[in-house]
Amino acid sequence: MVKLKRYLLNPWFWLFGFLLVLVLIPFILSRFYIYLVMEILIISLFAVSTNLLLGYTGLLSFGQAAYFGIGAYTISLLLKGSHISFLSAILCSAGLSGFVAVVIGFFCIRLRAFYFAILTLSFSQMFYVIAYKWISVTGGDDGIVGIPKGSIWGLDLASTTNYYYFVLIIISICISIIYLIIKSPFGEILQAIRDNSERAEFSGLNIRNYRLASFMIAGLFAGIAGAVFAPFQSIVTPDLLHWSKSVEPLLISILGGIYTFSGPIAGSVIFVFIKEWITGYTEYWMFWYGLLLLFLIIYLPGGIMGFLTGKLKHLKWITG
Amino acid sequence: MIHLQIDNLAKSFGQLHAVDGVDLKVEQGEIRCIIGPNGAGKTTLFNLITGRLKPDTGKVFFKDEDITGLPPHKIVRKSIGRSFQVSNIYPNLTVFQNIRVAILSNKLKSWIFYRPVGKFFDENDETANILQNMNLYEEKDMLSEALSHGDRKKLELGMVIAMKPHLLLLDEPTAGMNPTETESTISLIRDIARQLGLTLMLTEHDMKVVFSLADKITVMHYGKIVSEGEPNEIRENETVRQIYLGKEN
Repeated sequence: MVKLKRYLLNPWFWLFGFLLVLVLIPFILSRFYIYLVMEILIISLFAVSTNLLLGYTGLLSFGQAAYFGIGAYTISLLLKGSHISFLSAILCSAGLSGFVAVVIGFFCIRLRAFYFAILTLSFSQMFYVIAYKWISVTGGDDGIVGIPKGSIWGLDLASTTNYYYFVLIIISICISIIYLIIKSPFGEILQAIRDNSERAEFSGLNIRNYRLASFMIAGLFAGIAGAVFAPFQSIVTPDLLHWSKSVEPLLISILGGIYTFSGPIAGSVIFVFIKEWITGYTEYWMFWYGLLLLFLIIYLPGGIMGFLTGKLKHLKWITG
Repeated sequence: MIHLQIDNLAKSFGQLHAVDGVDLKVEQGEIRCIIGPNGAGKTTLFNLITGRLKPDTGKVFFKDEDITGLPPHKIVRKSIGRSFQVSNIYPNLTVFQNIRVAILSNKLKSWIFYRPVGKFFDENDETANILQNMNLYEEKDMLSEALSHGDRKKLELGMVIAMKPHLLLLDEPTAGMNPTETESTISLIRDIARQLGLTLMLTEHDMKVVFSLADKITVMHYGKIVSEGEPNEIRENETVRQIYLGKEN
């Protein structure tokens, strides 16, 4: 029993098990579920990057869909309009999203709390309108269709299994990088700023620069999520940039727990499954999701992972 | 040598002259207590020195350098540290992390994003040392919001010390402490100030503490300095007695 508990408390055990399951999925599950898991992976990166802002920097951004959308549109235009390699196209999309995040962040970071939230929302709506109205480039309401998956090092990504492994690798690398950032001195400083920006400033830290850096990193990784999402869907439409899309990673993070790294990932799993499952019965799935969220916020304010890690700590307490 | 020099500093909030033409000189290595009744402008004076507020007029010089109106993070880098009346800590970080943040910042390692913070052995050792000096090592893994009031004040002091300041401003360092805590905190402050050769400015309401600690005392009233001198001079001073005891007595 003691040995089992030691395993349960070891995060590496969980990580290894989780990754093993992900690697095996194409062998066990049908195509439908492979697609579902791919969606979970992509949404996970989007949510984890948003939670770098929300949970770790204390910034509530209502505009993250803009960076996701910019990533998705950039890669779509590049893949359709040029012969650039797939990997370079992803890097370009990430770069552009990160760059736009720096420019917009520069203005937003100056404001506090809800002014910040509203300004991020306004900027992202600007990009929504651009995608909607700049028909010659973005295709307007119809969006861009038939985005190819391309190939990488001679490997054809058009096959579902291949694209699945490609997404798995990209997302794993990105989430690992964000994890490393959070565990670094820089990540600790972000959490300090979240907790008490005045004390941080009186510890010699220029908090605006750190917030801006965090905003840029979040935008960059949201851009990567968008860049792997577009070929996955093979279509991009202005909806991707709509502000209501920005709410999704926020809700997912809150559902999973914003003060844990794995919270947004757990949240994504539940979010995608609930969406899939309830839309089978009713199109008003947001209603049921809302009810679930209401219940969780009242009874498990730390989110699902916050609750579980609390329980595990309790277990540690008992075993000594 | 004059460490801190303040010339004709003033700050008003509407009709209220919170700090009204203050001149002050503090010698290096001196322990200076600022006293005065509530609303005398002590905290505002500290806010003006440390950049939390910008003065309407006047200048602040530290080591002969004009630091008037600089933002707090730049003033801190000139090695001026400060604690607050209501302790200012990072409530959701552990006690250990609270101190480590200050050390990382002081050693200019706060931008490193590619290496786990646990691998910064020097900084971690330094953090442990400070916690031991502050008698907080046992609590290192606790979230700092769970600390008692007195320990929070000590933790904040530790965070300020970790920045290795030359001038330290403490705003009511013993407010809300019981007599035992007050005594241990004051002896801690005195030891640190002596060990590191700090210049110390503090506001304090406990007169016993003030008279035992201060080299010099400045008395403020309605934003102005009304008296300044060594503890026994202040004790005998008629104006000071009137302020504290009321005019008729």
